[in-house]
Amino acid sequence: MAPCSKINREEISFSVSSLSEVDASTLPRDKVCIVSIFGKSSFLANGCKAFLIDEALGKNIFQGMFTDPGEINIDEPADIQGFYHPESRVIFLHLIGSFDTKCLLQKCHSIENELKEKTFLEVWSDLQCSFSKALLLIFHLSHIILVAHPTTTFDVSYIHLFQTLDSVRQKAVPCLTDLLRSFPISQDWVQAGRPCSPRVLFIFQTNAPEFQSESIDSSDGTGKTRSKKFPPIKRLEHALEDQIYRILRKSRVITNISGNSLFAVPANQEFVYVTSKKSLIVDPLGYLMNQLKECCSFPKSPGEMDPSKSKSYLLNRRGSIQNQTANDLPAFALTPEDGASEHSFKAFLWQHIDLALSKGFDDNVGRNIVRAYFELPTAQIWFQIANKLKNWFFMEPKDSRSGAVMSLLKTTLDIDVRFSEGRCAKVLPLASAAYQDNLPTHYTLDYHERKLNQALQVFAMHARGPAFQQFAQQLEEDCERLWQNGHQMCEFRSLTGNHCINPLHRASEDDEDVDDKTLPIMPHCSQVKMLSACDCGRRQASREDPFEVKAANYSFYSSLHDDCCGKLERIKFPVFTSTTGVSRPAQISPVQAHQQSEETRRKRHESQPGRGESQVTTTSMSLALSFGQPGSSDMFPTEESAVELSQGSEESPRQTSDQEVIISLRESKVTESPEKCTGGEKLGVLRQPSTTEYLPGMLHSESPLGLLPMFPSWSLICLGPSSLYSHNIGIQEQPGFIPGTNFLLPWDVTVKLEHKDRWPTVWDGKRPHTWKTKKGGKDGSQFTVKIFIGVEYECPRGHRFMCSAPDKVLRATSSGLVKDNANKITGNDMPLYFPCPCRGSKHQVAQLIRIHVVTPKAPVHVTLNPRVQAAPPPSPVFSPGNSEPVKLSQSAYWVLRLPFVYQGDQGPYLPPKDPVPVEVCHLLKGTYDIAEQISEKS
Amino acid sequence: MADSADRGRRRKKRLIIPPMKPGGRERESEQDNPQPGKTLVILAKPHHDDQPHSESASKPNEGTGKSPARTPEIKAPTVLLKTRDGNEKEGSRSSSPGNVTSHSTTAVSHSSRDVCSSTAGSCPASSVGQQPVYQIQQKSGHITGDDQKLSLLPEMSTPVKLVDGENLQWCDNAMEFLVDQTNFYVVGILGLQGSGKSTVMSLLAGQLGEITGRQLFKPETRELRERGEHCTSGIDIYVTSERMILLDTQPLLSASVMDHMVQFEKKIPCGTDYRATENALQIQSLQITAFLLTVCHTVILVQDWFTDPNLLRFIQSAEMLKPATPTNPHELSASIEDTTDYYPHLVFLQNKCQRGDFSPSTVCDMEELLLNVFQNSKLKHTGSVWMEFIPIKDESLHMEVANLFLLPEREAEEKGVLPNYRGHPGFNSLGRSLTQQLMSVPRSTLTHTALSEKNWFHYAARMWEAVKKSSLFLEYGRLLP
Repeated sequence: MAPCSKINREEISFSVSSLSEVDASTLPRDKVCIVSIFGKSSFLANGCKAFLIDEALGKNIFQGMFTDPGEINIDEPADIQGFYHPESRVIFLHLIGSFDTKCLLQKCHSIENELKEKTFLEVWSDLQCSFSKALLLIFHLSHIILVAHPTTTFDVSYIHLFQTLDSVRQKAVPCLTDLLRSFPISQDWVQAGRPCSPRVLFIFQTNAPEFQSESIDSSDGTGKTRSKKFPPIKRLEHALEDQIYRILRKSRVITNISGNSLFAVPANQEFVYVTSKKSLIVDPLGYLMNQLKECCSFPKSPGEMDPSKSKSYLLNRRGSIQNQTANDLPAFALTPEDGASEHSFKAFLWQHIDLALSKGFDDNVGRNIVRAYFELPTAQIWFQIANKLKNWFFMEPKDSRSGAVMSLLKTTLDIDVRFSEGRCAKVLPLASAAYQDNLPTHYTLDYHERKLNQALQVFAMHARGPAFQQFAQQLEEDCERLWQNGHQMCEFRSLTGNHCINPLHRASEDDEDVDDKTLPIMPHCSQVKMLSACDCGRRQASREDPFEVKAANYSFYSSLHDDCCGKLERIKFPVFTSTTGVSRPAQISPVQAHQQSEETRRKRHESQPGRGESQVTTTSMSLALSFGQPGSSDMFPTEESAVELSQGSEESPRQTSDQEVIISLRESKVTESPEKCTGGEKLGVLRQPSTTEYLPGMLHSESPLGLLPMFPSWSLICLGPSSLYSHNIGIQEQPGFIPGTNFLLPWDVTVKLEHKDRWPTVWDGKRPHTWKTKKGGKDGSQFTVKIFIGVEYECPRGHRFMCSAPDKVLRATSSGLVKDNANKITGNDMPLYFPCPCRGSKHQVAQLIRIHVVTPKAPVHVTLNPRVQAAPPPSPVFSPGNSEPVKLSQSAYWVLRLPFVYQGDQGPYLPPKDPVPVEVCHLLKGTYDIAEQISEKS
Repeated sequence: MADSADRGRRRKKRLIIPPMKPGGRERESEQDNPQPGKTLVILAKPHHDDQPHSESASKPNEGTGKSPARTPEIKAPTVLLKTRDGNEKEGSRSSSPGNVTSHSTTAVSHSSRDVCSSTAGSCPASSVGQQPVYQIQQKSGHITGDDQKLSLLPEMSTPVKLVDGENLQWCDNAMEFLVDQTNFYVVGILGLQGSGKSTVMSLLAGQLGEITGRQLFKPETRELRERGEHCTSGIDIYVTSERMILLDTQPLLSASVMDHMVQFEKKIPCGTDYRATENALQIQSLQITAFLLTVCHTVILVQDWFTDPNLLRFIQSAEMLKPATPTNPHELSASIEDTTDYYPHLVFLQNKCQRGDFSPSTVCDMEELLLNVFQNSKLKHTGSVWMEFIPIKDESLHMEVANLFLLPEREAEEKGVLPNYRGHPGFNSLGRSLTQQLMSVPRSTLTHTALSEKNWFHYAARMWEAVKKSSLFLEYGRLLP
């Protein structure tokens, strides 16, 4: 075994990406010529452009087999297949890259996700860049380069590519010189970075019938114009040669001194070859079918085919190939083209190879001819150099110098992206200006977004290309920054839904919503003024848009106490009273609130008067009430099952004006009266209020037990005696009422006392006018009372009006008569919001704010139990906090003022924006009721 | 088959009723006659390419009065649009007066765009020709007064220049062939040299003729091909009787065009701003492309091999450089929302396809590549044109399909017992399918307001100037090496 002496004369197939695997030491010492081929290829060609070389060598090297098309390596920038043919002393390189459709498809596969984000323009510039690196490599390693075209026209897009490659090559020369210094090659090669200025030859393919085959052409040379010196395919070659030469000269891709340009074309040798043949791989089906057809058509004597009559010369030839290689299918070698043939690829290529192997190229033209450098390496050295250069071109650049070369390549190719970036950068200030045009000192998010949209539109109008997204985002960020940098409006929502118009600020020292501690402290202000009446309704005052519940529901009204209703009798609703002097708000998390609410609901049911067992034990006399109308509210389904309730009359309340209340009395041993409970601060046993923690918001059905608000959001006030109201005149001394709506509505209720023994006799004497004995009643156990009720709405402009039904504004007739009664009010849920009938530019939404009740002079109490559903369920039901219905004193004018805003744990429930009735916001029915008067007895 | 139903679902309703046999057409017209007020039936011009037609069909000008009219269903539309007056005169002389009167009442009572004609006058001897043959076109917005205009609808015999090839200057020649009606359809074509643009356009015009015969748009002659030169230069325009405006262009990025620039030291069109010829060539090609993308309803990108990635990139570059659709200054406030630019339909037409191209897997791969490449393009490249006879791989997915259509090489009629397996239904059948699909591509308005043909012409002229003067191209040109 003597490895040094043993010379391997085997042909070697290799791939440039794995050059180091080739054992170069055993290669022959012959000088070799390197021939490369690249170009575009159609999808069907499977990336193969070198079938002519295969044909010329008579071997299947690059084509692969049509039954099993070779996979293309897409990991490397480009797949370069190599073949060393020692016999002819040539190394062939076949570059497959993005220009080959098959390869492009595979690459698109592998970067599918990238393609979703980037535009093809960006992706293509990357693909083209890596392809160009591979091209640069073969331009530095080859003597002859074949450019394959799938058509018969020269692809002018190569001009830009060549120009780019040349400029990059010149930049790369110093780096390459460093790399090559260690190799035993001539100084010229080291200095130039390449063995010679390569010759580029162009190969075209044609399908056109007139170029199909020389033999056919010669046979139909009947036309007079056709009888020229050359066959058409030759004429086309010459025309293309002239065209290409002119174009390349004009674009200065080739110059007089070949060493100064990327490549050269031979001055007096053919450099264009047009073939009418196709790679077998393009149409294997057609090939096989033709074979089959031939078999079938001439089953008897296949060999006797008349060549002159044959449909296709090509077919015939292929057939013979098939016959030759029938027993050697995998190799699928093609017969070498007849070298003597006038128009053969082998002849075309080998004239250049022979020249290279003998004299070398000298493609300099012009007067001062300088000898061009040309060198043939040995295969051994070439493999080493190729490996080194490959690493330099394909690897990430290590030093700044090679990095600069690669980035030059990238930027030169990246025209579309550069254009787009340039364009977008130019337009960006324009768009920014559009945003900043006419900007107020501070403005809302909404305004900001509108302006931003405007700016984006300006941007979209002028900006182009793949960089659009990136710059649009930058524009967005710029504008956002500008806005946030001192132009932001506070926009804190008031409880009525208006936003604060001050610049971004803190409301107090310890404002949790704002992180920035440098912001000025100032109160919120929406500059919206509203006109509201006081608790009793006799005085109107303008108010600021409230930002806090206390201001909305308490402070404003209490500020008017001094002027108006401060001294009037009022029933107070339960509020928090501190015993220790230290109080803090309770922490209420939504989850907790929910759990609580479950509990509360259950407990509340129990605590409802006359509805639970516990209540029965404590109050011996329970007032079981029936309103003579169906179940008062859906909220309390258990109500129906309350055993203590005596059933009311079955008659429908809507049909009769009189309603019957049956008050059943039981033996009473306990002196504690329900009135005491409703009257004041005491609550039911189960709701013992905390004295250290208060409820931060308003009291509602889901508030935790045992917590009371700091202030009452409701107020119940007695204006005075019932004589204050005259049904003929209407309400008086209440400003703001829309004329004709200032009336209360009569509610006639028949009261039937079931416990006759207990009924006091004091009433026998006088009979108030509201209390008349019914026909059926014998001794005054059944009588009718007349109560006046008004449901008052108030709009932000201070307009007030009454409603006579859930969907109707009360209107007196022109003579001042009111024909309605209050049954629709008492028997239905009343809407919380109602469009104000006032005329104005913008229609306002009025809110149910007061309930007027004029109580009769009868031995019964009118009770109020207001509950408000301020938003669709599951939002809570608001109530003043009374544990049972509040009893109003007889023969008096009472006004219940409802909260101005309703705020739950999740924030305020805002009134609707448009003045349309809202279906879900209601004062729930069951607010009004009658209870027997009992306090005077005890 | 199940897949035929599937395809039917995907297929939009075709506007075009396939050409009928003469008998069928007669029946149609007879039904129409008694009820002149009936809603219009939309008939399209029948297709010529399914059978070789007489010379008179391809040269309508000469074939008016004296044509043999052996194939009335082919000839009818070309004749009638041109000389209705003449037809009526002839009709009054005709042997079937009943038909003629009903014919004229139809035309008058509709007072819209019905154009009727009779071949009776021109061919009284033929029994077929005695029946009036109606060519009914789509209704347009015009109400009165254009009966006269209609009757003078100009018929084009050959394409004329829209943009001349020398200096790329706008030509007004085509104006006389355009009328004031809004129902028209602009199709433009783009492609590299020798890919078959003119041939495809002739096919769409229905005037392709025989392989060796004359066709509407001149293709490269054999001699030109031998010299490697192009044929069409500038932009040619032809208006069909169906009011389809065809724009045939000079090849993109053509070596031959560049060679002409080099050789004849031509003053480089599009200004001298581009220092190098190759840059001027590229900008010029971009300008033509951008122009077509602006003024066409549908742009066909024809290639004769699949596929030049550079060309695909090139189209997208042109998309980027395309001038913005002008907004109406009168409705600035209203147009804030709809300042969206106009993008035409883009149809990828693979011409001169070979057997292998027609295999379903290859078509699927092509589709996939095109979809990938044009994924982020705003050009409407999916869903309007497809290969009807090739089943799509994933029927269940109902994925979008690219507007890819394959046309085979035109081949002479094959003689022999065993015809070759071609893998496709033949050039004529595919050509018909392509024409029908293209005609039924939904037409969106080019601008924010509807244009009439004449408006379109002015608009196109404005756009051409805009493209030529656009600073975008200048900027782009400066970046070229």
